[in-house]
Amino acid sequence: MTRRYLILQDGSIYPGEAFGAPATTFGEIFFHTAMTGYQEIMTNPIYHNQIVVFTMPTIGVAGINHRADEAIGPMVKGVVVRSLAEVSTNRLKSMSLHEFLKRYNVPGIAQIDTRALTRHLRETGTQKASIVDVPDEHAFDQLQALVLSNQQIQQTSTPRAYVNPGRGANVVVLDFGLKNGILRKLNDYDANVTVLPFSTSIDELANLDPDGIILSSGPGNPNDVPADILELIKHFQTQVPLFGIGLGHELFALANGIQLVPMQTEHHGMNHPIREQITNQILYATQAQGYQIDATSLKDKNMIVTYVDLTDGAIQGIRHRDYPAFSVQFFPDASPGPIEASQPFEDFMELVEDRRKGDLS
Amino acid sequence: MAKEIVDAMAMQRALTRITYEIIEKNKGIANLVIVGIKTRGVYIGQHIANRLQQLENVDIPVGELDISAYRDDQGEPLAAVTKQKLDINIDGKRVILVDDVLYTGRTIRAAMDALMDNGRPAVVNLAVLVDRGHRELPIRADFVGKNIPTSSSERIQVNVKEVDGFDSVEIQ
Amino acid sequence: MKERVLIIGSGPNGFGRETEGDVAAYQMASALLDRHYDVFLIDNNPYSFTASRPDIDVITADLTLDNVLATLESYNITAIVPTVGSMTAINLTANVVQSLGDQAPKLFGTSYPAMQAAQNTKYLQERLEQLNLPAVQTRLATNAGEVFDAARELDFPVVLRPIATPGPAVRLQADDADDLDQIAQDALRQSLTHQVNVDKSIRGYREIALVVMRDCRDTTLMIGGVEDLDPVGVHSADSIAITPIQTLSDPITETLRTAAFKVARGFKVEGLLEVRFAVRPEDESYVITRIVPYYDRKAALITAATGYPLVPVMTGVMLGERLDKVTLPGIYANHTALLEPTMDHIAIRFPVFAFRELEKADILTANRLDTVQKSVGATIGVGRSVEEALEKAIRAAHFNNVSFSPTVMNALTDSELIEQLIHPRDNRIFVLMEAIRRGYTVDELAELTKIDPFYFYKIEQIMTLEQSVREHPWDIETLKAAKYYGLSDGLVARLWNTVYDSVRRYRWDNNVLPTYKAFEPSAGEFPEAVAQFYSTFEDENESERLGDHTALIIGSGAFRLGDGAAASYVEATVADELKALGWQTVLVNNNPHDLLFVPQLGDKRYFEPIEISDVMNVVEIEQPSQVFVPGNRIKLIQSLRAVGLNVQVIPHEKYLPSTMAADGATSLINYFCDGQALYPVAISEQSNEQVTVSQPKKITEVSLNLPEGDFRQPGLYQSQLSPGQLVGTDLDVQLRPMPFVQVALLEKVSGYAWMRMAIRYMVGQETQQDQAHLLGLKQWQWLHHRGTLKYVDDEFIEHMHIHGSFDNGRFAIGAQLILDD
Repeated sequence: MTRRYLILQDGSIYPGEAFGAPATTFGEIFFHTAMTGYQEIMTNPIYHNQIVVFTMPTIGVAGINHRADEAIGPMVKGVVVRSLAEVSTNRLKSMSLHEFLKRYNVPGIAQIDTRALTRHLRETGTQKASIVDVPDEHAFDQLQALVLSNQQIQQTSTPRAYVNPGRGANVVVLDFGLKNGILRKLNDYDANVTVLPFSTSIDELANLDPDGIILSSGPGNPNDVPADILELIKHFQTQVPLFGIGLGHELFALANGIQLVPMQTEHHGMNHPIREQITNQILYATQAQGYQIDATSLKDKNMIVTYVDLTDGAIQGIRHRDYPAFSVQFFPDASPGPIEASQPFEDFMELVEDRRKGDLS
Repeated sequence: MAKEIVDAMAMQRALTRITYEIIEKNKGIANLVIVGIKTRGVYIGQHIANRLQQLENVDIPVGELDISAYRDDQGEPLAAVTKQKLDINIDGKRVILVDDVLYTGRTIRAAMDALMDNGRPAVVNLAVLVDRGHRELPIRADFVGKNIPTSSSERIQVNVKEVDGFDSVEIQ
Repeated sequence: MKERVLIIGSGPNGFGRETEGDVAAYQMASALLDRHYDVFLIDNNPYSFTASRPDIDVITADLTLDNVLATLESYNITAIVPTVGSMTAINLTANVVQSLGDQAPKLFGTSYPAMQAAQNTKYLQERLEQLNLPAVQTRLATNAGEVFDAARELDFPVVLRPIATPGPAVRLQADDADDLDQIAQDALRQSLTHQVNVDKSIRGYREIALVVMRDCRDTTLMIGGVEDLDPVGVHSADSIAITPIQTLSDPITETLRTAAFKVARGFKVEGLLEVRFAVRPEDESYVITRIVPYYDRKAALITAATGYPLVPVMTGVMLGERLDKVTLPGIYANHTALLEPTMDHIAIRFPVFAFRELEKADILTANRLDTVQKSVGATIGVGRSVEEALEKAIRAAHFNNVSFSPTVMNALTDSELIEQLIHPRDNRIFVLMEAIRRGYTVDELAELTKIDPFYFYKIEQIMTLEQSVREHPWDIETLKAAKYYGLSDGLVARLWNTVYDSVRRYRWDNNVLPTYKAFEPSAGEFPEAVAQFYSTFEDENESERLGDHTALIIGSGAFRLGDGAAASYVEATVADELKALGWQTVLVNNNPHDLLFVPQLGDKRYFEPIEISDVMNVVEIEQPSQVFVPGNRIKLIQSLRAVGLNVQVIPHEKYLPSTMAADGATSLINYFCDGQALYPVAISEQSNEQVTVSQPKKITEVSLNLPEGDFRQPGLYQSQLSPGQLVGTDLDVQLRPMPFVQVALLEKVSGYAWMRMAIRYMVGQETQQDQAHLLGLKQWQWLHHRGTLKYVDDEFIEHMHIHGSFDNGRFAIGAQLILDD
């Protein structure tokens, strides 16, 4: 094994052992508290360009199984773990985590005191980080000079439209950095799915006569997103059932004049209690949240708050008062994560089916 | 033997959906009152009111409507039953009339008669948990929890926690 | 109306009934009292710490239906709690519900159907089918043709269970049609009704347990999951168990989680529920094998491992409090009850067996593991890697080095080794290590043992490391690696042919120091109030010295045969008294069931092995004013004194003469020692069946010259009376510490907390009342003038196949208390 270093913008240095690719890497660092689903997390485009720290100390035990991919290959720029597992590559597993990262030229670093690192990041918030061979001045200079991209959607959205055919309702997914879980879920309903690039125009979308529209999750700052998208959302929310997820939720809020602000402590995990306001029921869901709705900007916006995170009160879902349009901050596709979180899909597909039957016309 | 076709969870979801639809259709909940048809319609109406309370922090009045005096399909002579006065004011209100099962439509017709004897609402909408078909009158629900196609020989039983100890819809 | 709540205890300790029920009952009683309920406990366990609480009503009676019914009536009980008294309380409560019907008191913490399903597998399977959840598939066959039909439908392997056999239940496994040909007729013949149940075999499946909570509003959350190292076929208590679950992918974990919620909902459980699964690793299909509606060893493990306040939460929930509103003790954050615990460490439960102890007493038993529990105790090892946690758990289990030395393993022939790989014994982990040493590949071993390859890589890592340590004496990088993966100073010393203290000094000189990490349920996401720590060797240490007036209490680790539960009772008493005296208490132990881990008893807790090096590391951080150690840890006591610590010995003698040796009963006189003089306090009689203790009718003044040594330590001592000798006459005393078993008995019968008084004398905080009590012994009346502790040993037949007589004074793990008025 080779000694390498994780360095942070604030000057911290964490020595560890290299795995995956031997490349030098840069990105925004964050910690994830889920105990399962490392592959789904690494391949989720929402983490495009980021370096993930897993608080679960043993990572890689279940190997890599392509059915668990949320995109083709890892989306993260680096993986930080305490104890990397070797795996037997027979049975369900097609390769080890080490092999997988190497194949996609992504470096990992193991034997890090991830608990100390997590407690540090909890205080400082996210920052820039790098995995390097030598933690010298040069490495820190490069890290300081790093400018994080604000073109994340452009980099992760599909360049052209494609169809995932089915025999059910006609659902359009606007791709802002779509994860496979959303498509997997729509497959359960046998929906006829058309995935469109983020840059699709109102007319192009209207030509498809959708029964419902999903605004996908995706990476980056919602405030960086081109204004055209907000116009498109405003147009269609009055026409067809609309369902925003993650970034899609944030954009749905922005389109309706609600402000989004960076969070003090980001949510990356699957153990927070989330209350569904209407029933007072509590559910658990995978969260990947760096921005939140500014509650004061929500007043008089004709929106209902539907879900709230009980640990810090962060809004996790909203619904339009006048139209069948709603959105959730968490991941309802449950890959990875609790299955009970998938209820919003059920709600959405019910609205879509109602519309197909003409009940909403 | 009774067979559960809607479990407690699905029943809760159906009520949630009706609630959101009521908000959408009424463009808010100003001037809204709920009138439940005894017995289970009242509890279902109460569930909807609770949901509105959770979401909007507004108390929606729930009235109880006893329609036994208005039924035209039950043997008792009409005069023998006293017409009951509704305990809430419905004049000029947007009334959501709530029942558990919509079947022939005769209950609803009776309920409309009873409602009109109690005042003059601005609008009346009908919400039912289950629509099982077989209508004998031109009546249609505005909000339906579940459409359950049935044979007329089958019986639909809606159980609510307050009366039956648990929530479910059973077919017998 | 204020509820009057009856907690049903678990009765005598036994296989699968250590002190975890007592730990839970104690906390539950506190939570109920905080809410101003009247609390009652019925139990006949002499070692029950909960039963020593002065603030609850205790009914000491055998756990029979009649006694419970009588208690319900005479105390006007309005609610029963069956969830902290093992299967005993579940069975009893189910009987109560059956016999009283609608007239039964309220049932707190679980439901009648859940109790039935815990009792009756067939009922569980039927209910699971109604809930659309998978159970073990079973078909009934009445002739060979139908047996084959069933096997074709279910797919091999299958298990045949003849119905109504004249002898004990029979299980025959058929892996293929040839096997089945041979056994089908035989199985049918063994049934009196010529009927056979054909089950789909789940042997070799992975065993998983999930612990979930559900409240009255149907909010469900998962507290944790445990994975067994050994597959189905070895009793779950006898397998090494790991939390959090390591080898399952996210989708199957989420599927099991959802299934566990469905079970809790389907059985209308408002409270705690453990659901056991068997998962087929090849395709991740699963069946539900059992439900456990009470606080058992898995719940204890998960509580210890996560830091989640499981008992306070389950108490609130059973009373109808919602999970988002449940009242928790002050130290917890608001969201703690609702946050699903997430771990950033690994906890491994390691079973401890008694075969060797028995062997030394010339009692031979088959040490093969099967579906009946054989282990009598367990340790827990915690670390930041599986290697570290496993090393610490093994170390905590204090294996006799001779029995497991490499030479013994070397002597195994290859075929013996393979036989033991397939049919595990108590030395499981060492056989796995030996197989790796001999060069078996991971995949071969995984196939033979049905253990996930992941664990073999981990064992391989440990072996490689040990080899490297052996080859690189005094190499600092190697030492760092050894510490990083959990090897103890003692083991390193052995590999370097030196003594532990040299390794420890060398480590210190080179700044290789332990760091302590917190057990908290958020994996570092939130700043949580934490009082529980484990060690590792990383960058950041989170444990600071608690204060300058601390007492460090060393526990006694895993239970073995004999007085484990009684020792736990005594140590808990010590901790509780020290707290009451104003000390800050720090507890070190590694037994996840132990009473020392009742949160109320300690200001700070360490889950660590209690080898000298591990204890010294804690001492260095805490710098305690006093250290309390059980008296049988002689080497540890010496080492601690050697570094100038103030060590108080809790008098304890484990190796008492056999109670079988004497013909009939032996009489003993028991003394309290205040550090100066001996006060005779009780007469006892012991035989191999029981111990009886009573108040001496006449106390003659005695003045004894105390022998030098630890007998100057305040505490309880005893000496044997030769036949015909009278109390108070000239004593040619052979004093020995009073066995913990008898200490517990004496306290319960006399109604006086002797051990607490001994602690007060030890730390010089005795009161005038204490002195007055000792001087007024003659006038003082016992609560009960006489009481008997009857050993319970019948389970040894079922679990260990031991017939015939047995040295109960040394080996019995359970006892019942009988009080005379």
